[in-house]
Amino acid sequence: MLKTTWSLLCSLKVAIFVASGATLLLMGGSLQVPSHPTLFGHMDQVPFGTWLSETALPHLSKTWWFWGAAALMILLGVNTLCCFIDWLFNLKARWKKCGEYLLHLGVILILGAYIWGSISGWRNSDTKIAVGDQIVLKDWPGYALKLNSFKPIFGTNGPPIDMISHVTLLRDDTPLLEADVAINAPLLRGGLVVTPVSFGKEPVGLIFTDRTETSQTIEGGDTLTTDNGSRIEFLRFIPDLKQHRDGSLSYRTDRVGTPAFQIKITFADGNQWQGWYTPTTAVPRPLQMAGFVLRPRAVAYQDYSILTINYDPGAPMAMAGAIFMTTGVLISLFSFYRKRTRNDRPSI
Amino acid sequence: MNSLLLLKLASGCYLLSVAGYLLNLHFNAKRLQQISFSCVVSGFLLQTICLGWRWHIAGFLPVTNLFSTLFFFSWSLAACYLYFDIRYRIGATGLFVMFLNLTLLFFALGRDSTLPTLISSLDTPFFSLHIIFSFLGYALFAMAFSLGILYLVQRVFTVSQLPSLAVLRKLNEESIFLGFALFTLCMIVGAIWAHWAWGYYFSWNIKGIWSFLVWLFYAGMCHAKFIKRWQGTGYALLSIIGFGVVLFTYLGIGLLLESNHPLE
Ligand code: HEM
Repeated sequence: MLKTTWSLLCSLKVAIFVASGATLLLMGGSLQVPSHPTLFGHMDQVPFGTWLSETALPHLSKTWWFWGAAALMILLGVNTLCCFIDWLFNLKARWKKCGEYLLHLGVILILGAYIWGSISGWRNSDTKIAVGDQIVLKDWPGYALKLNSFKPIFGTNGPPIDMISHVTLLRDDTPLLEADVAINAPLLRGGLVVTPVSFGKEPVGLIFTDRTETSQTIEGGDTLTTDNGSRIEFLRFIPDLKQHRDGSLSYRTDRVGTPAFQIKITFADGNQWQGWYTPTTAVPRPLQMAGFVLRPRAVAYQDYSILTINYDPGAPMAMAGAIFMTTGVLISLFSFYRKRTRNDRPSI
Repeated sequence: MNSLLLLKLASGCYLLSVAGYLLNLHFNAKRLQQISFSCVVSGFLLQTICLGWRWHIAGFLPVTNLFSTLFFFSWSLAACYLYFDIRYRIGATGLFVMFLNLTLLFFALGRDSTLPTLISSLDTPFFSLHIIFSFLGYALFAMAFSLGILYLVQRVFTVSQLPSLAVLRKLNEESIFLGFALFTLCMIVGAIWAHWAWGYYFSWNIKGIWSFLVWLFYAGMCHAKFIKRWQGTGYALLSIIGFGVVLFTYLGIGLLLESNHPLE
């Protein structure tokens, strides 16, 4: 019984049937992909395992072929592994066929790595980080990524040709690695990969000038102490605030319209006032009383970078598989002719 | 002189070679065979100069629109044919292969040949290698398709100018193996590039799925030749079906459906 199972698992015929089954399922099923964008359109944004369990499982009638093909591919992987093990124990002419061995080992490693990454990996597509900020990698406790600086490179006819984010990877606030992330030049560490997606600028505050025309930038979160000892806290900055007739306020857009600061003033005598300051209209009386004399001149912008931050624990193993496979293919290109001259091939 | 003129001259040479091979079917003269072969060589040289010229002007391997990929496909097919003809002297098979090549050029010549600017993510040696391996693989699969058809023709009509069934079978197996090897390299380079550019090495879009299917299909064919019942006719049929899969992956998806590999 055990022997029959083993020889079945090592059978080349079984391999061909399994591969044909997977091919036919994927062929038929894949033609559904373009007509169901909500199901299949965002598959690359999550690991395959997450997609299978969260998106595919509730829609089995449209995704059953994926499960079938995945099962057959796993079976093909097991089949290839068994063949490989069988060869290791039984084949005499090991060196003559090392190309084929490496090629098959590469397939096994890549398939295994893909399964591992699909189950244990995570993906954060389109993560926005402002220059100077750092984000916590929520799926990777203890780790954070900081964007130190950002520089777009523009071509002669306008559109950007590169976007260079200088980032630091931190673990428990200790820098581990500093690197530039650019197009086709990601940050790679273990299975972590950071690639650029896009970039932009966002309004974060205003540039003011004082009586001597010296400019000063104020952003949400800043604090100012005036000459009369009052403390002004600029709690947050809103680029476009809408004031309704009933006095209520709402956030309109991310573009600059009616910029506003929510402020809190602590006067020298300890009294406090909290409210809104919209520099394009009037300066509120409490702000005047606090000795605020700055004049708004321009909007202050901050660059941000949009990055993809993915983690695939299987990626290094897949890379090893790719190296084995490439070496195997190159060696097999020679051994193919040698085998043919010797008429050495399995006959089934 | 513009580069398109070179391509037209190359097409003329290929056309002459097809005419030569056709006449040779009737006259069976060694001289005709040699002339046809010289036409293929001349066409290939002209096409190579044209490719080199366009590459030089663009500053990158120009394969980013349908014209350029059909052009490169045709160049790869001519290169593969020359490899087989120089190695095995398979003259008469040139009729079919060169006819296929002319078909590719016919579709290419009707399209816009201007050199597009390269988007930054394609400005990497990974891109050039991915494309070179991919089209050399496709060309070998096209070669196998031609050999498969000729195998069936030879089986039914026994044409004296065509190689024997045993040679056709051997050549078919060889082009499938070589095609598979190069296509594997194409997939590996593409996967590494995707990992660097997007952060994952396999993308579940329709082009990605079908490229994987092409690879899996031909991996299966690398083994099917060991099964006695599949040898010969079965294998020839599989080569024909396989090329259908290749054509759908190359053209069908680009023309009919949306993907991140438009018209490649
Ligand atoms: C996707 C998975 C696989 C790929 C890509 C693959 C690829 C290849 C390639 C390219 C060859 C060389 C063919 C030649 O020399 O003409 C080969 C040979 C072979 N493969 Fe596979 N293979 C796979 C799975 C398997 C499995 C599952 C088995 C066993 C059940 C297997 C058994 C063999 C055998 C016995 C040979 C012949 C080796 C020899 O020359 O003695 N392969 N394979």
